[in-house]
Amino acid sequence: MHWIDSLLVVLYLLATLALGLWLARRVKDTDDLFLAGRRLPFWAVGMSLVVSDIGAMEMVGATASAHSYGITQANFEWIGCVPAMVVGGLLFIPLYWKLGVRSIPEFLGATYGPLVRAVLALVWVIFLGAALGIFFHASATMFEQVLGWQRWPAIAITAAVVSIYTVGGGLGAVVVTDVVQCAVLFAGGLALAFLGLAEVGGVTGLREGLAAAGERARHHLELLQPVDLVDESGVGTGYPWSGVLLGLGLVLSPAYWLGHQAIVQRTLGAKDAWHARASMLLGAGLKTFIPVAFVLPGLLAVVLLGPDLETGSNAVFPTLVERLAPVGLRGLLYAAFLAALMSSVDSYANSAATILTSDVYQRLAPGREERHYLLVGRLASLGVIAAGVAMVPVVDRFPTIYDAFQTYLSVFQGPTLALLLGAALFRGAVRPAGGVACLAAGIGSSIAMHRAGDLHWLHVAWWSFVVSILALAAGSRWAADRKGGGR
Amino acid sequence: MNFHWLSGVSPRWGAVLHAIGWVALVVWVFRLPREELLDDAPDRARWRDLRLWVLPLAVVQVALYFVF
Repeated sequence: MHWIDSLLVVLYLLATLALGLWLARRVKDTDDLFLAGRRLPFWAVGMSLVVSDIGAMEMVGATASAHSYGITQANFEWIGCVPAMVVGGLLFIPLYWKLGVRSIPEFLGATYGPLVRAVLALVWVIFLGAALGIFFHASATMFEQVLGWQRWPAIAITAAVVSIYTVGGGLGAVVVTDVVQCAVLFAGGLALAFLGLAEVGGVTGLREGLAAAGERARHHLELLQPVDLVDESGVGTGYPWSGVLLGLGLVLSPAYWLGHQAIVQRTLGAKDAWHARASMLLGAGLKTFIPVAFVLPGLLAVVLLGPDLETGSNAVFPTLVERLAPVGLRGLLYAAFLAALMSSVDSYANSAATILTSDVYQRLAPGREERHYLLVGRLASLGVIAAGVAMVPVVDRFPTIYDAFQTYLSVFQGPTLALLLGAALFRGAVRPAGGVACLAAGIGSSIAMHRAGDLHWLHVAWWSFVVSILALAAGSRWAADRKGGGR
Repeated sequence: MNFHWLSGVSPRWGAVLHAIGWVALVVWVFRLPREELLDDAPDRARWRDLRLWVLPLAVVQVALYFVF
């Protein structure tokens, strides 16, 4: 690594740390820690929303998937984000704002009762905490491959920097540092894409190069691919268009953008309801350009590096950086990589601490002084990051844990969306019993479909949502009839 | 359940369904009261009408799915 690139990375880390520490002076209570004192402007929240969604794994993974499957990977940023962000911004966020809630379990608990709130709080804390372990592990592996850094020093430095500004500055520091990280991510990704385009001879060169790659890249310029696409060995591959529309567009994306704690929490930190709404729409606009920065390089790699890489698809991003980026830009891209990791870690740590403090601790120990809860919130942030670091050796021992975890998350998406829709649109009709039935049936059916193994995961998301909606309606109807009969 | 019965249907129909979804979304957005969306807004400037922000998003998204 050239000394100029190293210097850029170090300067970036120091600047992030200084910014976070400066913002820490403003934190006086838990509202400051978890909701940034409700002072954030829409542009900061919007940029933070976008960058929190792109971790280091996604940055490398999106380029790798685009290399393997083509432009269809952009669905995860377009149909998989934009429509749900519009609905979230104009319907759900104002509702959360009006109710003054801090967390998704709190919002759902108000409709479905304490059992559903407790189950969801537990699910979120386990998910957010363990996801941190996987972030650290995957990123450390990439640090070794991409930057040649030793694993534990890299993890220790990242965790220390993130801990200092997240524990001290809370959501305000998280969002402001995210703004810088968003700018670095876009600058780095777009520069790489334009350099690659210049190298292949522009859009025409890219089209000709993909055509020359033959059968392997036949569908690479199709956003919506056939439902029965198979690879050379006859195994189903890519993302079927039915799954993209139903599973991604109608279930996974809304469940994420309307019900992900780390996402919703940012909008609740906006200075007023208009800024909260506008932040989601600005984020949707920025999302439109993300594929140019991280999917286009994957397509370019098919032409520049060939359709099959001996080192595997995950090597696409680092190989492109080494080949295309001059000294200085490489440093910016390494900083972007670090930014992607830190923005995910800080978001997840702050969100897990919010749920632990608001949904768990404050219910177990109510009536304490605000300073006490502030201390608990800060300790919770620190504890969650420490737990994430401690999980790295565990992840090492179970190489398939990342896949298992993705499955774990997807299992909850269908029922979570059904609960959110019920609480927001049919508040008077749904009942706590319906909520419990929805969770049980949705999670149970998801697990059964995943175990059966022959359904595409996007279709699993769709069918589990259908089952969840039916269970919510049936359970609520049963509870209403029972109450009516007893009168 | 894997929708293999759609194997004879062109993915282009997916783009058509996507466009219909966006039209429905835009109609819903423009039926929202302007005053409600401007609730809390610092002023009543035209650019603060969030319904207008949705239009370019819809046009770009629909175009992308027809181009690719």
